[in-house]
Amino acid sequence: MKKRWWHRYFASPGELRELGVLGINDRNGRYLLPNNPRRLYRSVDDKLETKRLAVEMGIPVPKLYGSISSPIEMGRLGELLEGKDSFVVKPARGSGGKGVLVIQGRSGDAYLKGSGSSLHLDDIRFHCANILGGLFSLGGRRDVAMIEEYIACSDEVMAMSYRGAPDIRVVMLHGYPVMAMLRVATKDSDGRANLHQGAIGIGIALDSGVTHHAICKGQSIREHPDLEVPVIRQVIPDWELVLKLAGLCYEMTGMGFLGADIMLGKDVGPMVIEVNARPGLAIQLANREGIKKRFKRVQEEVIRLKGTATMEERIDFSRGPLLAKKRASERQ
Amino acid sequence: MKRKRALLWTLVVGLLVLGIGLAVHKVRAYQVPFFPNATIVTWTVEAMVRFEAKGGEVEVELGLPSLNEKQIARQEVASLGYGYQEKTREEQFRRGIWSARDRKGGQRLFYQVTLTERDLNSLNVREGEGETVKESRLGGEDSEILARETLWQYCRDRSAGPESFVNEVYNLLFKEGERQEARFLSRSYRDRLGEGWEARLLGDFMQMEGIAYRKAWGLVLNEELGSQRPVPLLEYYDGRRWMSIEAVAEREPGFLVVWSRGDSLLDLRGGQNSQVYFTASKNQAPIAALERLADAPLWASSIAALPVNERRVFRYIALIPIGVLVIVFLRNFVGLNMLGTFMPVLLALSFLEIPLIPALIMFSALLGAGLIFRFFLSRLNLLVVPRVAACVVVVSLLMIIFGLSSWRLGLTLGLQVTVFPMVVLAWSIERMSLLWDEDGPKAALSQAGGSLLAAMLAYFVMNIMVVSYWAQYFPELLFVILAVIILIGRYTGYRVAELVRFRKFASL
Repeated sequence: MKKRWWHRYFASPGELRELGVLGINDRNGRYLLPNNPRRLYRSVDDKLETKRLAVEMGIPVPKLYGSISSPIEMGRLGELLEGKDSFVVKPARGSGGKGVLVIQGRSGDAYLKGSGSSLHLDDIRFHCANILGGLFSLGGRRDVAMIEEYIACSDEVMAMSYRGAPDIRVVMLHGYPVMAMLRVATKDSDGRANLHQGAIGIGIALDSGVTHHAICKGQSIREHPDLEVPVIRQVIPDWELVLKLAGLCYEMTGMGFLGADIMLGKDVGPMVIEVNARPGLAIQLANREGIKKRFKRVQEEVIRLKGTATMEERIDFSRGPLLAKKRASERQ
Repeated sequence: MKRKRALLWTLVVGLLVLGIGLAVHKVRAYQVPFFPNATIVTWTVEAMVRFEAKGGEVEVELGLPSLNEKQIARQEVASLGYGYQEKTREEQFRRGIWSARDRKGGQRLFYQVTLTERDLNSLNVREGEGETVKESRLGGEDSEILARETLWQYCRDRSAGPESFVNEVYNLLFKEGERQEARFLSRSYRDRLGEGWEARLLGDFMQMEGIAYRKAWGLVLNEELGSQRPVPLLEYYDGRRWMSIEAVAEREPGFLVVWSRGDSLLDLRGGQNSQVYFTASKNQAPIAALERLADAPLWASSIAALPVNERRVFRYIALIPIGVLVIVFLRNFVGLNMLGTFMPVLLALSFLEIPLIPALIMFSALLGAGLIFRFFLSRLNLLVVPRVAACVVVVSLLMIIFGLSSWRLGLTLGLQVTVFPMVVLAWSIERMSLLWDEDGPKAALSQAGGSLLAAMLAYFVMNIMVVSYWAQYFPELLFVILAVIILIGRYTGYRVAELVRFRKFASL
């Protein structure tokens, strides 16, 4: 595209349209509202429900130790945690990683967080009370605290992250993986893999599972700012399985448009953490590519096959023709 | 998909036709001007009489403005089953008389008149000459007589004629108050006479000085007041013409109009606890059009057909959609980040009541102070609802403190905040502090700034004269707003903020 003086400040709507960049109005009006009927939201907004469905379908998820849905059940907390050295407490309806408490170890009566600070059972109880009171859910709605297995992250990927476990976001349209990125934490993001808090978004090539581009706070980067390790040209382990899990997320929820969040467990392999019905737009920046052209190709493919493709066929399409077409058009 | 689109466009076109059609019909059939006419401003003044009937015959006599035949006025009397007639007493004082039998319990009577601003101003002019009054000594307690004589002498020495004498007395009694006699007299008259003692005290001095005077009753032309009590006045003759002075220490700001003349504003037989309230409301449409509108069928009506007191509220109700439209525009076209979806509209509404700059200062101060308190609260680890509730209490306390301290400093700014949306403010504080914790101060401040900006823009749009005129006289234009909002709901193009966010793509 021809360089213009205003590109330092903004891009014109025509230019963005030509590049196939998806805007938020477009996402909501064309992809989210028509493809995700209201009644399906329950299965993704409530993580307990997601977990139940996933277990039913044999999708690997962190094991649920138990849940606390009322102050009366709080007494059971000690019993639930007995003999557990590591676990995660999180709100069933939280979003953006809010209210997630990760306990990685124990020394005597104290529970140890990833950062090294120690907590008592009372502190954990208080955290649960906050979750129940709706501190982390939208609009202060009452919530349920869930306690699940702690999954250590695989070493290859963990090497790219400054504390806090990285996860992979795969955006799916009609069950076809469309774009993927790896999100890793930085010092600024405080261990959370949340892009607008300063985490790094790393675009992943769908066919090979190799990272090809990364951004942090809107800037293209090649190395992790804190760890100074390269973040591009890295191979994501078990990539095929990651895509398969993302495909299963579609089968599980039936949502036409979703973002699957997948974690790479050490020894246990990829696991589905949560399914997001309103995936953000930053994935385009991480991949340095507008997502709409891929959406169009997927929609054409869905119409061509009248939605009869199996999961394997869909993933093959995403890893082949979806990208091959892009290359062909680039050559022109 | 196609059917949905067809439905959408039918709806939009239907709403547009309905809204614009009704407005055009109103302009053509009732000759309501589509744009406000700033030159002919008319005011509708409503007097409401409230009393408790004792259970027998009731007769209410209310002083009315004295109009001559040439003045075009539209007047309307409303009551439940009362007979009404008008009488002109000596010196052309108009009185309206309501009468009924067998009344018990609370009663309300309305008298409403619409006049041009010029005619209203002419009410203040009083023709004729005052009779000559002999300087006279007044009786009463010895101490009162002594105090009066001292002050009278004091004021005489400091004045050159009736006008300066009256002003001197007024200042001495109601403004400065460093003379002990003045304070003593005020206290003594208040204890002796109760309500209306100011007029009596002023009048006594005029009589001592030999100035002819009459009592009258006025009201303040100020739309923002809502209902107001009548202001007692004294009209006095300074040798050439009639002058008037308010017989109260303090009154609301605005232009004072003489409503009626005579010793009493209201005479009541067969009832008790009577009170008169005035409400003044400005019209931007000519009287003739208003008259036609009042008789129009419901679907062509306007807020102007409501009782004056209720109009204020409904005008805000009609303005809210306009503010909402601004917010929708800012969100979906511009992509401005705000705290809470429609919080800026409520803020903008309160800007309509308070001058903008003080309101902004007030909002920022409350937000800042509330935020500091909220950070303190978060250390206590309170649960959500009690924490927001605590914030509401602190915000109300802060408002009271602001009010008191600004009053001490001689500002009335702090007193006007009663309409400030407190609960909304508390939620904004809560949301802002969560943002502060999670996304950093930059995100929190940018969202707060976005809300302020949105509120200001909404305020500016709602404050445009034409817009408030349309809201009042053409409420059917809300259909047009509805159509526009529905259309914006289908806009899938880029937001301005996204053009900036994705600028990197253009330089690939």
